[in-house]
Amino acid sequence: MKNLKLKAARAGKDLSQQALADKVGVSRQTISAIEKGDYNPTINLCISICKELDVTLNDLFWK
Amino acid sequence: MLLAIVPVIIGAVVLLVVLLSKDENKYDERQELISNRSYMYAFYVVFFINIVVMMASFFEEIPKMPTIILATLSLWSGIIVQSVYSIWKHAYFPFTVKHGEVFGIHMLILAFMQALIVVIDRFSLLGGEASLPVEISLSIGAISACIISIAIFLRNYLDKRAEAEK
Repeated sequence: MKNLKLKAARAGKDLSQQALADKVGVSRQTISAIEKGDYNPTINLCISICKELDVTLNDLFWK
Repeated sequence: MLLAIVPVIIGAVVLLVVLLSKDENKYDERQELISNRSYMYAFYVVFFINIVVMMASFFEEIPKMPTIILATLSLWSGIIVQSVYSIWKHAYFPFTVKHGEVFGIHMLILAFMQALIVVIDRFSLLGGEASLPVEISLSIGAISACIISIAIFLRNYLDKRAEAEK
């Protein structure tokens, strides 16, 4: 299932996939895979993404 | 024999120095997951080839495959499966270093392994007579390197096209 909340939050911060990937220390393809719903990130990566986007885990990764 | 083994030893030392002098390559968690899966698939392929050859050896009508050919076939099949799968899933290159650099080191390792196979075969270190002509042995290595290169090229091409469509 696509993670549209992540995409929206990233766009809201005006960050490209590559920019967010650089900030959290992963490859651009990993961010793309999370947004497409092809990959379930570990809790550590979820926390890093949330910190960079100034949102909570519930906002991005909880239905 | 010494003349042939010396370049292999020099190759091993150069390879070791190159690998030890590099900082740790950085793969992210998804890439490590894909990488582990690619090793698993490579293992299955090598296992399957060996089982098939072993089964075939039970039949007298089928000529026996020399050990060195089986070793070469297993080695390159495994490497091709592992490399192509991880290239396709964007897990072949660490995301922190230049792709060309990593590709060069990988090709160096493959060339070294192929040279090792040739030396083992030429000097019959596995017993029996040399069974694989050097040209064929080197051609197998070159074809494998080409397959990996084509996979990289194709992946890059598809990525660029997808980006352009966005």
